[in-house]
Amino acid sequence: MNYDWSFARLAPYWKAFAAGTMVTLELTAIVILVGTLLGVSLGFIATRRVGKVVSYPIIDILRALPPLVLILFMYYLLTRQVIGVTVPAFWVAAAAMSLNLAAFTADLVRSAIENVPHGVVEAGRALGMSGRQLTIHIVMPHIARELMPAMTALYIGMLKVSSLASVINVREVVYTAQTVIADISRSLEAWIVVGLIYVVLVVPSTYALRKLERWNNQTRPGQEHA
Amino acid sequence: MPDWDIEVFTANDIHKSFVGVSVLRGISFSLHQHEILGVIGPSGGGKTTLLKCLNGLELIDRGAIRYWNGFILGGDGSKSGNVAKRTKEDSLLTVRRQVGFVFQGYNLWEEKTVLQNLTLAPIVVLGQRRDVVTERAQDLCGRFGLGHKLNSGVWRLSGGQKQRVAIVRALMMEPKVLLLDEITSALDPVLTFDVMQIVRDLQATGLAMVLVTHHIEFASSVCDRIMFVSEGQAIQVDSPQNLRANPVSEDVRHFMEILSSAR
Repeated sequence: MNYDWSFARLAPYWKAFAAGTMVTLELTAIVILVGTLLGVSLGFIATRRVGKVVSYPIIDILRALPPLVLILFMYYLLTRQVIGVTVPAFWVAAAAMSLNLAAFTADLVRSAIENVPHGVVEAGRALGMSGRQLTIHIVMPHIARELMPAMTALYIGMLKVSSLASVINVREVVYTAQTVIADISRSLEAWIVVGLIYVVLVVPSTYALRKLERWNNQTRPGQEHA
Repeated sequence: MPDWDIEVFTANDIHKSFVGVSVLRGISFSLHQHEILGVIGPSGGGKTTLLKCLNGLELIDRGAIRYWNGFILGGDGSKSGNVAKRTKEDSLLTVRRQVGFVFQGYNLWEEKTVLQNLTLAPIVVLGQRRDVVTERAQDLCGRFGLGHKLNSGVWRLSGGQKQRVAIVRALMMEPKVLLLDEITSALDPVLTFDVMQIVRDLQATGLAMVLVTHHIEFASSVCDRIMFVSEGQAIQVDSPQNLRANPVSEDVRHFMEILSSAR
């Protein structure tokens, strides 16, 4: 071992890393927002007899595609040659990741809706609630509660998947590291910094997730007590 | 005392079947103002389905139910055009709002608090103001011994408390009639007594009720009439005394004997 560690050489690039981190967070936030909305809608559609025909193939294909493949495919699809305008790489990555998240969300939402206990819905119907009122006031709160832990895990996963956006030159953390390395040839140090950034972002979220799960288990039925 | 001249609803020859199995085969009867009608009979005889049809949870295939407010749920199945369908859907919801239903298994929204369980439907369905509804919930909970449980999660309650919440939830809609489906069958004797007491309290307010039960002593003491339902038909509708003294068939006599000796 006579590698000459030198983190000092990275110091001047702290602003670049900070900017990269911001891009990573922005990308993830947009994906969470769009992907969830899209996924929940798809999930509801997938519980309808007619909707199944359309949404099942979409969900299955999107789930089958590796996020990296989806990003590359969309990158070359959303170009001037194909659609007439060039979409900025950031938005291409956001779109591809949103579709990925939406597919997994839709599947969770569909199965959660199909597993809402019959009596829960029947009680609302017996009180004269319309289908719309049942969905908004009974079904939605029920599945939101049911899916919270699984969705949080998916969101944390998206934060990590966002690193793939570097392949189409989105200036997030990984891309930043690659440019810095090209500049000063300190790969090990740069990747350690990247690793640390992800650890700092993800580990607190994981703790929050565990807390959420514990709260979720304590404040709902399942553990019947005498 | 029931007012025999005023009908809350009249069921006329109602039929209902599920995937080819006929559950109700032409039941006709009336419920009168302030009346408590007991429904007894063997399991699988169509008692729960009957109640669900009366509330509009299940749609009848044939026959008609005529309600006090002029609404009619009919099994003629006319589905001509969207307008007709719309009206049908609207009157269905109206019936459900005014015909309270209490389920055997409570069917409470376990993840909501007692107060949320009670106030959701009046606010959402009836469009009533939250403060008005909350006050009514506090009132009713006080009356039924739930005053201190308003903000508890329902999942924390005992079976007896849950059934009381379920009854109060139905009362919150200020129904014209209450349908009670074996509301004591999941409870131990002490809690059963507890819930029976509530039915007696409600009787004193003059609320009309249909009470499906296996507790013949209880039914005899609170009900004005008892209907014996078996294989989807009303075999006998009579006063509790007459049902015992003059059963119309061997089936009724036998069933009454078993229920009575089981006590």
